[in-house]
Amino acid sequence: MEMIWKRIPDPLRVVLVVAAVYLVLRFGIKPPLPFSLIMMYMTLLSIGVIIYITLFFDVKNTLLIPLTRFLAGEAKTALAKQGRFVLLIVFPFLIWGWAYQKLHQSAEPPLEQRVIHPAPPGESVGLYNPFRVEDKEAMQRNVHEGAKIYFQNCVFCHGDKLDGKGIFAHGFNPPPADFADPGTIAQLQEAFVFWRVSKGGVGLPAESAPWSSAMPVWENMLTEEQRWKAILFLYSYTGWSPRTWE
Amino acid sequence: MRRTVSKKGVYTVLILLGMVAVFLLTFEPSIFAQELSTKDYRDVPYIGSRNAVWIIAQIHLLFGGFVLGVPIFALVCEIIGSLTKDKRYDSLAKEFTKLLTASFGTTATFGGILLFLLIICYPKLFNYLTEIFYPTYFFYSLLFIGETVSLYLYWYGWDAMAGKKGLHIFLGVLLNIFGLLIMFTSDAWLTYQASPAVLSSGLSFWSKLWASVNNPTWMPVNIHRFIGNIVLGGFMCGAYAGLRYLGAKSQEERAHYDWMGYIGNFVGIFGLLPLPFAGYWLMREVYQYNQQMGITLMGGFLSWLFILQAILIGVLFLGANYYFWQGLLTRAGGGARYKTYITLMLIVLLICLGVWMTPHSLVASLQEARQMGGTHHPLLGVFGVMSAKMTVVNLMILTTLVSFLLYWRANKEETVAWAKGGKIVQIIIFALATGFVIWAGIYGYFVPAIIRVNYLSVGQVLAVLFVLLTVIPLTGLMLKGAKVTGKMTWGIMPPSSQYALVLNAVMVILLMCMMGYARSASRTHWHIYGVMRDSTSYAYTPALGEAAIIQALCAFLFCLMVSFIFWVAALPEKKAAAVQPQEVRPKYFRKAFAFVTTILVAYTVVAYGMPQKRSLPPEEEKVDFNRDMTQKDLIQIGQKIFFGKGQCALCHTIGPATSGQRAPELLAVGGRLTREFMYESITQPTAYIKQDFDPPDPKSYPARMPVISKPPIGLSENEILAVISFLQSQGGKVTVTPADLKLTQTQVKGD
Repeated sequence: MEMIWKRIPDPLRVVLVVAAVYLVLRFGIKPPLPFSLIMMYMTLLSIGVIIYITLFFDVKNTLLIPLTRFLAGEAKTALAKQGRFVLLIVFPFLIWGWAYQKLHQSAEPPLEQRVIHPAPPGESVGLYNPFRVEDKEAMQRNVHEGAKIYFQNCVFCHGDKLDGKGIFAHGFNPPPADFADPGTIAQLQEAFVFWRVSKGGVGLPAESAPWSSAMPVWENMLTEEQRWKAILFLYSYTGWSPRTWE
Repeated sequence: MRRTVSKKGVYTVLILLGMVAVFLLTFEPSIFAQELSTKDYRDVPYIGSRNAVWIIAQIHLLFGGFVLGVPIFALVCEIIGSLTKDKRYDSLAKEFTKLLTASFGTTATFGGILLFLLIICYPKLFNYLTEIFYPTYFFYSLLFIGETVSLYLYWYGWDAMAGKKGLHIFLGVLLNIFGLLIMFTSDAWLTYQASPAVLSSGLSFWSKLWASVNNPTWMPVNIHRFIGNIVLGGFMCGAYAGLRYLGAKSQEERAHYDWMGYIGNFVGIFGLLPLPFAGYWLMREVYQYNQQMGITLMGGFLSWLFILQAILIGVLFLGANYYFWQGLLTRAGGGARYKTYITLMLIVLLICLGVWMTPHSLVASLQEARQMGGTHHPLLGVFGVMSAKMTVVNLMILTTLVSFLLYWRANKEETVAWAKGGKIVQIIIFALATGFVIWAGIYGYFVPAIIRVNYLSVGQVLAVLFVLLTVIPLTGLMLKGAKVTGKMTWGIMPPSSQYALVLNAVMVILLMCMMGYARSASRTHWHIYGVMRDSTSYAYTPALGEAAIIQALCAFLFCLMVSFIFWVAALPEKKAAAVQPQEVRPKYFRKAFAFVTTILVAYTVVAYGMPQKRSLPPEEEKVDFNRDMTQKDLIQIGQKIFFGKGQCALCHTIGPATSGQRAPELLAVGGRLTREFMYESITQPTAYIKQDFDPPDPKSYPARMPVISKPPIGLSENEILAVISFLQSQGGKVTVTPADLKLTQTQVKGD
């Protein structure tokens, strides 16, 4: 294997590496990566390739001159002649494909780029959970009450394991948050979670639109106490602790 | 030939004059036609007052950074030169001080324009700041005179004081001290806008002034800018050398500028390494000062900006390493020897960058999101959080250090007896530090955020610093008296390496422009955070793409003006050199120009690839005390005022404070205090001060509580009653009812 790899000319190796990385990113990771991420990684890789080529190749003699010769010079070999014909035919098709892609109307909704954690208004910053108490017994009682509220209201979307896989979850985009993930409530302060729960998907500031989140505005349906207790349960069940400063 | 050029020039001048004429004809002289009156704002036609101030301030700041960074750089070079007796360092320092004199005037000019613009466009804000800061204006002027005098003496006395190097270096130190104090002074004005200290009427004028100057973000910004200026100075020196190298006409010239570029890149890189530290400290202070501002920056509206920042810094790291590698391959004549190492380092850097740039929530189509089960990828989603980012940044710093060490040791063979042992120790240090950084990064996922932030992240940075502080001196000792096995040939670097130098400078300039936007944007719709609201039509914060256009424009203008200064400064040499026969100067400038423009356009395009959302100011709410109101409504209004207009929550917390407690906390205050006592505390705060209240750090927040019923907060009687009802609702019986409101006072405007 190593013998074969060493025999391959350098430029071809670069091409092979790029192709291999693309194939791994595209097909090697389950569940598949979104296209935007693959594009980003490939852009990064092409920067790497440029660096590699300009470091170790004589760019002018091995790339630029042969390329101009192929495109504009005298075609001496049959390969060069046919290659040019192929290019002549393929190139318009590439342009056509690109234009088609651009104009094609798809049934897919447009990509959403959202600000996931908009800054809450001043009155929601720095609140703390009044039911998070030192007394273990009282705390347990509060968590228990929170669990009740959760299983009466939230479980349908966020699931009985709090993993965002409730029975309705498959119908929503964006899907309900997975609280077990270290990237959701574990990264947030309780005051922020409280604000998000209170406002749901609808009541969030304009800067984080488009919010197609179907989360209801819970402040219309649950009291302040109920919301705090439900949040207490979220942290208690998942084992995360809310983010704090100092 | 000469004729056509001059004709071209004439046309250009005519076109410019025509443009000025059109501007004057279409310009509506509204600002002149006004009668004398006090205005809060005036607009600038076409581009808007905000953009005008933005551009001028940014260019002023870039020049300021250059003018403050270069003397540090020049002084260090001069000291090295006088210690090592290496003439090259002295001439490098001198060459840069020459650029300084020209840039100094430009900086001052833009400062003047900025001042005028502020007075014209934002008189209310400017008056407010002047009221607080006017003594510092005198101080600033004095410093400016000191800076000017010391700069002139430093530059014009260079040759005259050649025999008295000590005196000259002392002048250089003086110059830097003046420069530093100038920056500190103006930093006070602008950091006050982001994190104003609470000023009460009880304080003396001077303690008020000091409290305003020494506001929570003042020192962090000072330090961050100080280091940033060194980085700018270093990379600008690199870019200057790169341009001169490309345009060099003789091998001797090339060798000189090749060496100069190397020094510049070196200084830039080593300035860059502690910069994340300073930024980290600044962000911590911001969070401690106001969590909302912290969230706006890191989690909210501006979070996508940090992906852009990652891209820019990543390119900077790649560019700097690329330059080291090119040096290894050509100057040191290494060639194939280093190919494996370099390829390996390139791969490490690319992987780190990939992790750094991976956003937490991915942009995905419906189907893709379904397959992933959300916008977080179950595998790669873990790259999106701070723990991963901190890890890869530290690994990138370590990799860059390896690049540098390889370059340093190229063509040298240690002769000291313990060389082998030393090498093993170095490898062990590297392995331990890398291991720790990775371990802490992974472990960070399993602990609460606060432990990660306080111990693991700090530990990672300390590990990297430990490597820097041990391995570099160790290498220095090992290479003492080393046998030189190969020659270091200066002046044979390929042009691509010089473009890397230009690229690095542009990246640093863009980063400064971008973070300047971030700093201003974090104030959202406030002139002075929480105190004075921006009520112009420009109160919104522009989206990343719009902002990138202005940033790129600022960077472009700055590059243009700096290259003009470079050109002017080189004029005398040209005349001297014209007598000797030389090679034809290559057409490097237009290439470099096209290169820089391409980078700026690419940056703008990438910025437009991010989510484009403006941050709009919240609607101004009007509190109508005359409408029918339930008890609950009143308490809610009180709560809004407590956290909003009343600014109570800036100091008082409900429940124990998460950071420095500035004032008594108000948990269950309703049960503790009577209605009358609350009223007195709000309207006459110093009448009785809670005795057991002992602020842990009285120095940081010396101000006492302001009289809330008077300006600047100035709550009305009804608003105070609403606040009291809210406070009573905290663990007490609410006795303030809607019936208590004085309905004669109609419509109080909530801010």
